[in-house]
Amino acid sequence: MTIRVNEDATARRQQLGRLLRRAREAVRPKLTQEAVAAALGCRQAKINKIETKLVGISRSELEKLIDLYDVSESEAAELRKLAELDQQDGPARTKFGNTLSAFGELGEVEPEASEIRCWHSERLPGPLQSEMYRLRQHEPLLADGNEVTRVLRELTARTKVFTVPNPPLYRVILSESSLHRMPGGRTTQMVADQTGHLLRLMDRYERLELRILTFDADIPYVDSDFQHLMFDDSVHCEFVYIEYPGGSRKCKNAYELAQCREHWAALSAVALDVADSREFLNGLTSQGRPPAY
Amino acid sequence: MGAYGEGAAIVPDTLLSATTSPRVDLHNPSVARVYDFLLGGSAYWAIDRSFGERVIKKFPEFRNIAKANRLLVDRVVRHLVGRGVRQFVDVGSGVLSSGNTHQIANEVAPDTKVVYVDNDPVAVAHAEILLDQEGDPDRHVVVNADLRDPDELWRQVSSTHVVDEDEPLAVLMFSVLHSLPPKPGDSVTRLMARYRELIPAGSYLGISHLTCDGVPKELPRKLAVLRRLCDDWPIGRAYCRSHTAVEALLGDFQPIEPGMVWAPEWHPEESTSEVRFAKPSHSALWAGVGQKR
Repeated sequence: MTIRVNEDATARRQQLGRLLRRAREAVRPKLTQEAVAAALGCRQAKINKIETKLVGISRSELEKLIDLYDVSESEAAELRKLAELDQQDGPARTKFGNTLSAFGELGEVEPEASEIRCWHSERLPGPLQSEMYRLRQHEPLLADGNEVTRVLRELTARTKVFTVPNPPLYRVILSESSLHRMPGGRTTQMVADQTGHLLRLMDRYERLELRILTFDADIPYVDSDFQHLMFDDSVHCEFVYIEYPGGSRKCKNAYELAQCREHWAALSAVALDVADSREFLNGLTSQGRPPAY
Repeated sequence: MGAYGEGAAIVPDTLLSATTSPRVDLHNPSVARVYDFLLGGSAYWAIDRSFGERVIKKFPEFRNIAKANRLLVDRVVRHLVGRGVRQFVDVGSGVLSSGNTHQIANEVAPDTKVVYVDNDPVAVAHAEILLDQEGDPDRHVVVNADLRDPDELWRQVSSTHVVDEDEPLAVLMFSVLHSLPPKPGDSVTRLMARYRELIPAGSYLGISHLTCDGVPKELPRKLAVLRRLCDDWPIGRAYCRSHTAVEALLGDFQPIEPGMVWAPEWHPEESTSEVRFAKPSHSALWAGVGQKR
């Protein structure tokens, strides 16, 4: 089998991912991504990302796959060539690379939680963002069409928290301010687009509990954004994830977890219930529509 | 020839470059997403729905015209698979929702290969994400390329290594050529002549095109309303061409039966569903497939 190497770096990574997937699918008996991940000592998500060209592959990992898939010498040579070129190309450079990486890590763990409690003030969390919202956040990067695909893939990956088998109970309280602060500036179209998206998510996913904290809620203050992940399994520890400019942190000690639970209870006590929140969003969506032509 | 005859512009030529730019436009509706709205998809944004609703309010028949085009694609793919074609290049494929070329082809010939082509980065991203989930990376791929550059478009198609140019293929250009304005020097004729040179012998070229030629008398007025809407937003343009002019786009390719006809009249026996028109001319679409001998 002849493998032709593409001149374009993105196409080369695409080619490498495609060939690795084909090699895995050719193995008999069949090898799942989970089985390959177990053999490599990593998670299934990483194997998927390698095959769908989202991440590169190290030389040692590639050699393990070559051995596992029992590919021919000529195929192995071409895979090594593609991987070497990919390593030389390096990872995609983006001003928001660290931020995207942080979202990616959280995105891997979220679907495995039993319950997630989120409080967000001015910025909507990834799983709730509409395409327009997400792309507007990354607008300076989008001169490259490949970046559009990458950003929307990240968005699709974050919504897996709703679509995995046995999804977590995703409980989110959004400040009214998060529905007015829009990436790149508030426009009626942006608000209508995002609030319409939230309503569709609420219709589609019964494990999503979305509530609004209005400006006139009787609460002395609101703290900064957090996401509290709880797990039933013994693999993960409960933690609260917070972000700040340039970084993020997982809070795991008992005191921090207790403080977050306490603040969540305070927010929950004064937030609109789900039905009233839906009505609130409907109001924003209809206000966001421009007048009839 | 009346004001709405051959080559009559629905939108001014000067707007063309803005909406066919590869840079993603996050502020205006897109042709691909508005088409998705008209077909009852879910990939459109609020701004696309707003524009689509205005079109439907003034030109309610337009939704059926869009559906007629989608159903035409279904019939052409089935018919050509029946003729032994196993490779398709779908130019201007838009947002892949339901009833896409690869899904139709997979129903009748599971080994069929499809290369999707579009220059809307969001449409390309949607296609990549969908094909990640349900496509076969050896048989299904999408490229970001501009219809107006046949050599670059064909280079990108070839570089995917999905289609075999030693075997017949079908290039589908449905409701995309009417984005090309009539220009002095007959550049569209030269453009299509180049595509016909690039397409391998034994292969097919399928086109559909909007027309004001022979349509019901109220349609040209409504197409003029569509023009004004396109001017106001702005969004991509559509130029009517006569039956003679559309037929000429196939050049010396041998038309397959029934020739260049109204879209609903093209092999209706291949239909799996239909949209009803009082007369075929109400579809305002010429449709035909030619083969390169």
